[in-house]
Formats: sequence, C-alpha cells, structure tokens
Amino acid sequence: MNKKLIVITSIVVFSFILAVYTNLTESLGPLGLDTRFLGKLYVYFTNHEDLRLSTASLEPVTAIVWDFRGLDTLYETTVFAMAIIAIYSLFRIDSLEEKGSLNSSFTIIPRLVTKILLPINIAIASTIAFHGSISPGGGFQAGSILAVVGVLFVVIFSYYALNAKSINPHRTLLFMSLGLIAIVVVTLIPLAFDVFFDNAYLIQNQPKLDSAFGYPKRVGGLVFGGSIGLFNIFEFIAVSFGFLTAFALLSIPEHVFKEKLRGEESLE
Amino acid sequence: MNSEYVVFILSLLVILTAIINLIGVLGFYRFKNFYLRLHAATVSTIGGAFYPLLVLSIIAFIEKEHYIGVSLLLSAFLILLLSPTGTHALARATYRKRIAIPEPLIGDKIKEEEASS
Repeated sequence: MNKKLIVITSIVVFSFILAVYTNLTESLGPLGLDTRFLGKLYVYFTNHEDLRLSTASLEPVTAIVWDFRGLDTLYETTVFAMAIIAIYSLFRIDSLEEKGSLNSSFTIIPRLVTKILLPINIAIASTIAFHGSISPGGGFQAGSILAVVGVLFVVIFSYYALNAKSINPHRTLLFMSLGLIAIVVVTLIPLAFDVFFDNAYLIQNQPKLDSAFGYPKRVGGLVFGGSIGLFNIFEFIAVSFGFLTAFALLSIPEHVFKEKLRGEESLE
Repeated sequence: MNSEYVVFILSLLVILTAIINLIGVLGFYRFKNFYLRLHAATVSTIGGAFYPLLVLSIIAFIEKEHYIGVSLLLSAFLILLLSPTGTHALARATYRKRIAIPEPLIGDKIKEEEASS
C-alpha cells in the first residue's frame, strides 16, 4: 500500500478520534443545550439601540470579527501582509524588460466572455465589501473575489497583457500597503482625539460611557457600522491588491526567473 | 386567469428540468469518450440549471418577489454565458492537444479548413 496514503489516513483518523474524545469528555467546557452567556451578549449587543453598547453593524459576524475582538483581526491582516511581503521579497525581480506576445491562444469566445465578466466581478466584489456591515461578507471575502479578476486575465490573455495594463507587482504592493496604512490610521484616530479633545480609546468604534468619540453609524441613510465600514473598505483594498501581488508574481514565466534569480544563463 | 395555476404549471416545468438533469448525469457516466460526455454535461447545465432558474424567476415575479427574481435572472444569464464558454475552451484544448479521439465523427471542419489553407 502507498506510504503517503497510510500517513494521511492515520492523521485524519487521529484528529477525528481526538475531536470525539474532547467532545465526549467535555474537556473544552461543558456542553449544554442552552446558549452560552457570552454568545447571547454578542448577538444582543451587535445592533443595540444604545450606541454606547452597540457596534452599529447589522451583521453579527462582521461585528464580532472587527469590533468585539478587533485586535485579533488586525493581527490576521498583519500575518497576511507579512506573507505577501515574504513572497515579494523571494521573487525579487526589478522589472520585466522582456515583452512577450499579447496574443491570447484562446478564440474570441472566451476572450469576449471574460471581458463581459470582469466588470461584473468587480461590481460583485465592491458590493460585498460595501455591504459588509449589513449582509454576510466583508473586506477579506470581497478582496479574494476581486483577485480572481487578475487570475482570469492572466489565464485568458497573458501575463504581459496584465503588465500592459500597468498592473505589476510593485504597484499592487504599493496599493496593499496604502490599504494597511489606512486601517492603522482608522485605529489611531481615536487616540489623536484623546490627545487633543476628549477621552477616547484605541480602536474605539461607537461612543462609550466616558467617551464621546464615535465614527458615523450611517452614511446617507445606509448602515455603515462606524469603523467597521471603514475597516471593510480598507481591508478590501489591502486583500485584493495583496492577492493580486501574489498572483502576478506567481504568473511570471519560469525562464525569466532562471535568468534573473538563479543566474543560470550567466553561469553557462 | 388564476395565478396559482400558472405557478403550479411552472413548478411542473421545474420538476421536468430535474429529470433533464438526471438524464445529463446518466449520460455523463454512460457515454464512452470525452466529447460525448461534454455534450451530456452541457445538457444538464443548460437544461438542468439555466431553464429552472428562468422558470423560478418567472415564479418569483408572479409572487412579486422582485429582488429574488432579478437575482435568479442574473444567475441564469451568467450560466448561459459561462457554460458554453467553458465547454468550448475544453473541447478546443482537447482537440488541439489530441488527448481524446473524436468518435463517432461525422465531419471535421477544423481539419478541412487547415487542409484548404
């Protein structure tokens, strides 16, 4: 029998047994039919009418992810950015001097359909990002959907066609960094408010008992969710351009690497 | 005319598309080679996904659920656009790489055009 198969099967079986064991022995806390107190609090205060207790977002998942444990998501975003920067530094290519063919090997049918689909894809991604505080979704999901645009473009046309549209890894990394900086600025604005005006806390969203600072709950009648809406938009920018950076770097032809990174041709 | 009867007839059409889906799946498993299976897959995507979405959107408009109706229409439009495109790209790539033998073959237009040019 295949050795790999045995290893994979034993890992899966072991984790299943572990999960069943922890559930049966209740090692992670008692299992009950009632909703736990903390869970009730989360749902209750997601869209409470008293703004001092609420997150001002209609969507509990986004509210929990961004506001109840905002630091956690901040670190997740940081890890993502670190990964993208690591890829960028591994694939250290200054510029792509070579101009490859812009001709697609596909017929007119896939090319035309892709051209029709790209605006639809962008529209869907932005809708999911801007509706993050109303309906399920949010910045990360929207960014992942938008990054598909780049992959489609590379597959249907070519990497050089993407480059000809002046989308290159350097520029996308710049936009990702701008999105990340904007997230950090949103978390730091309350501190600036604290220094110059009144009492406020780091990553504060809505007014608290002893602090008047608050991001706008609604923008033009639409539920915006205060800092959650801003976070969603900037996370959308950061994630979409981060993924675009990774995809653009990965789709650089291999022979270009061989010349530039490993210096194989100069050795010969 | 009573709208309930219309909805009932339309629901029967949705069940009919489910049968088309079943036929497509059977064809996908029973046909011998790649091109025939591709044909069966297209039967179940157009007959089993595009038509029911269209019928369901009509039902949604009759029931005055306009938001759902428009969403269904959009999904149907996307499937109508994407399914033939994918099939075309797959079939073309397979033909050019000569991975599968087209059989039974009635005529080969691509070969004729290549021979004439």
